[in-house]
Amino acid sequence: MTRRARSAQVLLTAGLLLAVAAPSPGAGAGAPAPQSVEGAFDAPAPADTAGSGALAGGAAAASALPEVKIQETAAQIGTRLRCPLCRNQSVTESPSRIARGMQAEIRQLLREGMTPDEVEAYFVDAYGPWILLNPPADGMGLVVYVVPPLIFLGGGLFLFLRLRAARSAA
Amino acid sequence: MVWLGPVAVLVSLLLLLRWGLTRDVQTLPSALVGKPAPQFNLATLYVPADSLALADLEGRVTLVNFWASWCIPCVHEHPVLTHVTETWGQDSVALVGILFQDSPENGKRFMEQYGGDWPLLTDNGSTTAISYGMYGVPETFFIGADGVVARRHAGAVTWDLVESTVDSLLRARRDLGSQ
Repeated sequence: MTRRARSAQVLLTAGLLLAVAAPSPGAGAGAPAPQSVEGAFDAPAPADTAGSGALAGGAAAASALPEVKIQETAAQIGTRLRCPLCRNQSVTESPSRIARGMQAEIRQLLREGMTPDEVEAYFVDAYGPWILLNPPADGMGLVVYVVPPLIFLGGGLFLFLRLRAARSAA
Repeated sequence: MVWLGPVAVLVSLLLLLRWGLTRDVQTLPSALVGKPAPQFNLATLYVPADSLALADLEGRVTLVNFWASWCIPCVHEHPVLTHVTETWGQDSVALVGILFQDSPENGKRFMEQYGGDWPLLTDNGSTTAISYGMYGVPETFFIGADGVVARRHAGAVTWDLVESTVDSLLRARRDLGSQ
């Protein structure tokens, strides 16, 4: 193999490894496929006044947050939650009715006095950790954070060794 | 030989991706299984002033079925649900349908067309659906007499699945009663 061909081969390998190692936001555990098609219904849009299923039957403390802050915080929480009917789209970004319903539920839970962490925990309780776009850095979720840097380092080491071998062969 | 390492890594990752992308949503366990079922108190489809709460069904094996008139698998599973009410009395096995993202008019038309007589509820804002961690209709939650979610099934239920699950929950209910 010529020196140029070997260098090209090394660069191709490095490119492949970088492509694989590149982190993908929200690419956590296998996402379930959407179950049904939305849009073929004409029910009223989710209302913020709807009672929360989480707090049904229980008294809840009202939030001291002003409405503008609740809207802002809800939008931020929505960016960290996955729309259950979409592929890697957050609740805030998705126009689907279930995502709009979840956004309304987040606002309602905040109004009832839940903290952002408690709101996230509420959705994790119902859907599992899968609902978080960024999986928690423990258990299987740790793989998402540890494997890409390891592949990157391994690729770098491989590239270094190949280049060194190519140089000494020349 | 030096290629073996990267190729092995690539193949492993591709296999992992393939496994992730081909997982069946119906086999994914619900985060609620083994936990107390989320409580609800919802208006009935036919008389919105009336409501039914999960607490009203305490002590019974309860099937909470999320459905919609626009959902084709809901049509397929409808005879199974009808058979549930024909096989067991509501005092031992309660079936409750919760309309998901659909208008009450469409829900009523669906029931007129396909028949069936069990409590039907509406879920304004999908708050109950969200508290159950719903992905899409149909989804059925099997709740034991102790109020704990025993099973979640996404997609149309089959009679074999319903019968075996309900039978085992009824056995557990009898054991609970004899204690």
